[in-house]
Order: sequence, then structure tokens, then C-alpha cells
Amino acid sequence: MKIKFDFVTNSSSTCFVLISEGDFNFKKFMNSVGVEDKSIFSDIYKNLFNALKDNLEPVRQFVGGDRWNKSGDFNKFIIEIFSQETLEKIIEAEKAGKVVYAGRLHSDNDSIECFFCTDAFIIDTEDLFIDATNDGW
Amino acid sequence: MKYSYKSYESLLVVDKRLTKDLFVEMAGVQKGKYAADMFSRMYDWIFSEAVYVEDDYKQFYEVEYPNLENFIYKKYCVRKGSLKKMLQLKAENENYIIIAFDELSTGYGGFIDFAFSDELYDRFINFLLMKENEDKV
Repeated sequence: MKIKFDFVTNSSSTCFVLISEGDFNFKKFMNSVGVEDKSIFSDIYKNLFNALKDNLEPVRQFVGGDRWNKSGDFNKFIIEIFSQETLEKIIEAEKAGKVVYAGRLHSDNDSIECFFCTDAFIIDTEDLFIDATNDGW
Repeated sequence: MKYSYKSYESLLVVDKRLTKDLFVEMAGVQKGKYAADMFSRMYDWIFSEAVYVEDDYKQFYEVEYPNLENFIYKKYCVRKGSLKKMLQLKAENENYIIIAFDELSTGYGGFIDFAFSDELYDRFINFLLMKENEDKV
């Protein structure tokens, strides 16, 4: 048990974009992240995989319903939250017939998801692209 | 073993043979990918500004304090029971040392509630002691 005696903050969430070559599955994710089966920390990444998978929504639907999308302009929103490069990747993937997803990681579910919610990262391999650079607080 | 002697400052017992390469290798992650980058940053978070307590004592404080135990007790205000446990743990292995570590060292606090969360605490503490990884040195 821990007792926190200094300040506490409110919870929040950060968003990510995910493009997968075929199904987004655990094996592909672990290969892309670079975690060996024998790793004593593999459960951390399993937790991240589940947090991502449980929060996937088609990106245009996600952006259309996002309360911070004040202008209603998809391209502008993606560039502001992520980058021009990520927008280009989304458009390219959509042209290739892939479903592009977006979602949120939350700071108040558990300490592992909270960490990834606040860690800015990009995973860019042949099979998988995840832009979670919005995760920096 | 971790002892918080001040807000965001702790004493840790670690294995002195732990290098960054070993830290990443022991984590079971592949170099060049996100998980390795994450563990590499975690190593820097702990060790980049760590004070090696015994070296510090011998170099600067030996004339002032009669022994290491008295030095740690007075400089870091460690409770006697915890200090006894810490020194007992250190005595278990000639490679164990005590470091003073600033949890905000790299200007990033994201690892604090992650590495030392209830889910990871024991595993991470043993990881820093290289338990079950003696063969990798």
C-alpha cells in the first residue's frame, strides 16, 4: 500500500494513431515494440497492447467526435495533434485500403497505462505504425 | 530496496556491475526498438545523476563521520530499522552498493509511479540487484 502525501493531479488522456498491416495482433505488436517472449517485463507491453486494442476507433470517426476538434478540419487536427508526416501516412494508408485507427490512453486506469499515456513515442516498422507523440505532458 | 529520504529523492541498493547495455539486455528487449529506448531512458533516469554514497563518504566525509552507517543515518536521515535492513542487504553481495537518486533527474517524472508501482516494485528492485542475471556479467 502507498500513501501519497504531496499534491495530486487530475486524470487525463492522450490520443494515438495506429496503422496496421493486416490485423493488429499481439505477436505483431511485440515484434514491433521489440520485446522478447522471455522478457520479465513482457506483461507491461501486453498491458499496453490491450490498452491500445480496447480503445481503437476508425480515425475519421474519432477525430469527428473529438471535443478538441474545434475547426472540424481533419487534416488540421492531425497536424496539430501529431504531425504532417503522420497525416501523410494516414492518407497513404487509406488510399491503400487500410483501416486507420485512433484512440486514447488513460492516466487513471492503472500505473502501467498511465505511464504509456504520458510517454511520447512512435513505433514505425513494416507491420505497424503507432504515433503516440501526443502523449507528452 | 528503496528508501525515500526526501520528496523525490531516494536511496537505492543496486548492483554496481549494472551498465546500460546490461540493463537493456536483461530487460529482454531488442536494440533499436521502442522497448529498448524506453529501458535505456529508464537507466539514465536512475543513474545519470546518481550519487555513489560510499564513494562520496570516502572522498569527502570520512573525517567527519566515524563510519558509513553513521554517515547515512545523519546525512540522509534514514530511520535506524531501515538503515539496518539496507546495510544487511548491501552486505549480502560484494557488488551491491547504495546510490542516492534524484527521481526528477532527467526532468521527466513519468517513470516514478511506473517502475516503483505496486505492480512492478519487487520485480524492478530485484532487477536492479541483477538477481537471476548473474550469468550475464
